[in-house]
Amino acid sequence: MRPGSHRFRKLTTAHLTIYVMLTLGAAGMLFPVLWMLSIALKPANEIFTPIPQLLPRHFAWENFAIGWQRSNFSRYFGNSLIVACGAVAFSVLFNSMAGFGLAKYRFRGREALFLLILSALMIPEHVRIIPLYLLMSKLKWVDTFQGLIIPVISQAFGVFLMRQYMTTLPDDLLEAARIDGASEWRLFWQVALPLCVPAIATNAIFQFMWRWNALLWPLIVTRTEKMYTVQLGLALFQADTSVAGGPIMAMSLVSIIPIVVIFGALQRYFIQGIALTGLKD
Amino acid sequence: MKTPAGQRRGKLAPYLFVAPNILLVLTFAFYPLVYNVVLSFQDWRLEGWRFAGLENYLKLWTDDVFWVAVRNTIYYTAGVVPPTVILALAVAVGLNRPLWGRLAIRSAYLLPNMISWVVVGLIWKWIFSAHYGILNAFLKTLGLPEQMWLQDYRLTMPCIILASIWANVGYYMVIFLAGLQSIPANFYEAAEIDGADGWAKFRHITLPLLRPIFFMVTVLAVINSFRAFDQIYVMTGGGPGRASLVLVLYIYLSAFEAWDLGYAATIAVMLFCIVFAMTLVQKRVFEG
Amino acid sequence: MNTRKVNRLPTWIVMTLLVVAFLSTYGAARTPAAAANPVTLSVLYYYTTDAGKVVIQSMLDDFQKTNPDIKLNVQVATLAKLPEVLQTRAAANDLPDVALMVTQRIAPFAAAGKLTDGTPYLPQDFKDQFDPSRFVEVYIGGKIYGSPVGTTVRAVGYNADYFAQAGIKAPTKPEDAWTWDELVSIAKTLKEKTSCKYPLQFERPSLDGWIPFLFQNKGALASPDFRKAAINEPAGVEAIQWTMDLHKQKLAAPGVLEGTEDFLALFASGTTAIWLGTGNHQIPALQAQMKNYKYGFTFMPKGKLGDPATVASGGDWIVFDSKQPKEAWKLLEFLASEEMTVRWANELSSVPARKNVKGLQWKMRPDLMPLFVEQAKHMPDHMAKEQLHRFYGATRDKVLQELAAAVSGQKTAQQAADAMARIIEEQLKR
Repeated sequence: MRPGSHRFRKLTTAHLTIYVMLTLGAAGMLFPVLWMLSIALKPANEIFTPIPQLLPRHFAWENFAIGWQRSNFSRYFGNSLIVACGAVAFSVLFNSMAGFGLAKYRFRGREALFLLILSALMIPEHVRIIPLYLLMSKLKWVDTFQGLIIPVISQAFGVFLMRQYMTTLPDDLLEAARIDGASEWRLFWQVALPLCVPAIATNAIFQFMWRWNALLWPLIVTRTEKMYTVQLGLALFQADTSVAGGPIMAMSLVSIIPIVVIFGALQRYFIQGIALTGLKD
Repeated sequence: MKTPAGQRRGKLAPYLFVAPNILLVLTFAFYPLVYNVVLSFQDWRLEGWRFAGLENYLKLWTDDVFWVAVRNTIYYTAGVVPPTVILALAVAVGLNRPLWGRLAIRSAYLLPNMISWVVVGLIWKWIFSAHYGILNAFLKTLGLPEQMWLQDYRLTMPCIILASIWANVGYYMVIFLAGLQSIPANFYEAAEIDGADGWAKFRHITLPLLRPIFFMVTVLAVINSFRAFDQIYVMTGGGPGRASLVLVLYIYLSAFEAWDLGYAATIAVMLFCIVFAMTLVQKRVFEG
Repeated sequence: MNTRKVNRLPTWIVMTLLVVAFLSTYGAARTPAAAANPVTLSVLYYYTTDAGKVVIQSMLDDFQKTNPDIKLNVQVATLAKLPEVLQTRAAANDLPDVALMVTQRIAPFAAAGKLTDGTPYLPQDFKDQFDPSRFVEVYIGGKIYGSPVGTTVRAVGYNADYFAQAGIKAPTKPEDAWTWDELVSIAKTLKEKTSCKYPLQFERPSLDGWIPFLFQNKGALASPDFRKAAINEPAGVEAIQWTMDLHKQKLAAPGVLEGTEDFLALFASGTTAIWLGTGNHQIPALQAQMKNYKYGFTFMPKGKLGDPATVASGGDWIVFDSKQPKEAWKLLEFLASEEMTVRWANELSSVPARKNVKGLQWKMRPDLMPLFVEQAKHMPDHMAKEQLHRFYGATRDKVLQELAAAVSGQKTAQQAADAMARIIEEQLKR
């Protein structure tokens, strides 16, 4: 709050009502998450009851242990981590390269290629999954990490972001390095890229989040439980196993921790990235 | 000094930089699109593929379930987009001023969007549980009759819609906020000098300047709604009895549970055409 | 040139790429295509309970121990994902060598020639060692494609404490099984006298658990000659209507047939009192999770048929069109052996599909097993044929969706039955 005297005068009832409504709305947004926490900490008899309470009477910490050990969730988390980090690595690298190429060079077909990449955005996942699955079987990439990571590396958002950012880099920096005899790759890798850390961070965060949260493609390309990602494990648990109820909610809670941590620490990159979607057109 | 080799290198370099991305886009986006269309003219059985011409498309025309899925998807979109966009705008306007705890409030609205759709589905499935859910507990304590929520086919979609709005608002709120913040403050100051109050400022400055973003958000929201899958898969799997079967889910079930790959490809083509057409129509309407 | 900035390499990108590249190659090396061993068999199995997974894995491990020269590449799928896994592997021409299959999915593969006849690899009397009503699942056109495992018999589970409270005695002989009217009145008594919210519930969202009721009313899915559908005849429509009425009168818990509620939790938490259509396969889960009440099992109701009709089936080990038939059938013989059959039955409270097994000692609720053995004898012939027919596996889920639509009030019984008939006839014609 900035208490300047002229602003103080403006604290009308209208403003107050808006503020109250906003906070109530925010509380409403958080309540379901709170409820998830509540179920994650309850034993079965407090969950499967007609009038559940918000606060558990008995804190069932064992839900976390059960979920983690009984149902392979440790493995699922590992897989998700590998897939998400792999996707981040690939997309950051490729998107930066493409952004650099499109921003810092004038060449024939530049606009066309950029349009090509952007228009891939218009091709939604569902129209690609069946052919992609068949392609994966031909390549023997079904149920592998390559199959999970590579076919769905997101291109358009990252390329747009990197190109945007790189256009703002001063050309004379690159010219100077070129004159000093640096190869084009070194220009990219050692001059341009280190200057793009904010854009890279934004891209990395979004790629990570999208891959961490993805369900449809992992659902199709995995075959065995060993390769499930966290979201698959959560979506496919069976009702008559011991994981149903509290433990699944406990695992759900754990599954959002990486995202929440990144969100908490790097929220402004999230905001910038989403806002960028608005500036695209 | 640019040696001939260096010059050649310079000429080749941009293509090389762009190459990996282009390769990915061609292999994993355009090729599958084309291949999917090809598949839609074929039929798959255990014995193998066979060319089927327009069979699948004819089957689509007479397939009740497909039309149910189309209807459900439109219902879902119509139910999610307007409230989401309006709420997002309202919250953005509300947050577009210095407030105590602004960052925390904004985070609260944005957090549901960070959660995966699977977890969104799981959370709301519990809230809506007919026997153990908090909504029914709430109704019971108020003495009101319990509802079957997800099992009641009239309420299934509204419940899913509610969960989706909850998870979506924050995202569009951020876009609106960015748009609002790009409106220069002196516009508002000038209006204040002329004696305009809050509402007038909103109507005559904010809304008109926000028009392009508003339309863009709507188009985006509609496109995203047609892609809904995860939370519906988790909450109801398309049920009860297809009350919540949306198109992407129908594609998935046709391909991977009913073992009808060719037909599923056909549905995918139809969905693509529908979304494409809708986007064109919206752009035409908004630019007109 | 600003040399200082040059040093800020994004090394973490390089590191991640290296890690990912390493893991991917490692992952690729794990798949059968890169196997260095002489013989590798690809095995696929599904499980429904934790206990099932443990037992099957133990059997495979034991085979490995006694056959170190054959490497098993084992893949596990949940029951829900099994159809998808099979479908996608078939489309990729990459079916496993040996798999635990759901009975109803076998016929299409046999018809498409994707299975191997085991007769040359098996002893002469293999066929006769098994219960004929189960062996017919793998014995098609004179060829042996695998072997049945444990039999899951569907019956009626009940909350023993609630029964005691309401003064109800469950039938112990098939002749004494309830009629449908008796079942309804018992349900009403339970609702009055106990704290259950709904006296009845059906089995999980699966058509198999509901089919017995169709047959108890003298209905069927298809005509005896499998030329047309029979579900939309009066008997079938009546059965659907009865199911709908139970839900309308709030005697049956909603959400189970529709697949939106946790069916095990409903029963284990005492929300329901009678679990229709469940079977011995749920005993391990009930032992683990029904802590607050005692449970029992009784016979299916009699219905118009006058006989407590049930479905008795289960998984079957099947050998696909393998490139290593000798080793594949060796594995199958091992899995079908008396020792493994007994282990399966004992650990998972199953009825063995073999005749004359020795050493049968059910670990959990041995007192209940004789009932299942007796109930298993009451599977109508035509039902058995339907289960094995190609159309059943292909239409099961869609027919269930129509039933769910009727039960949730979206269609009338006749409309649902007609829709089911259309679905069934489309498959019968293929």
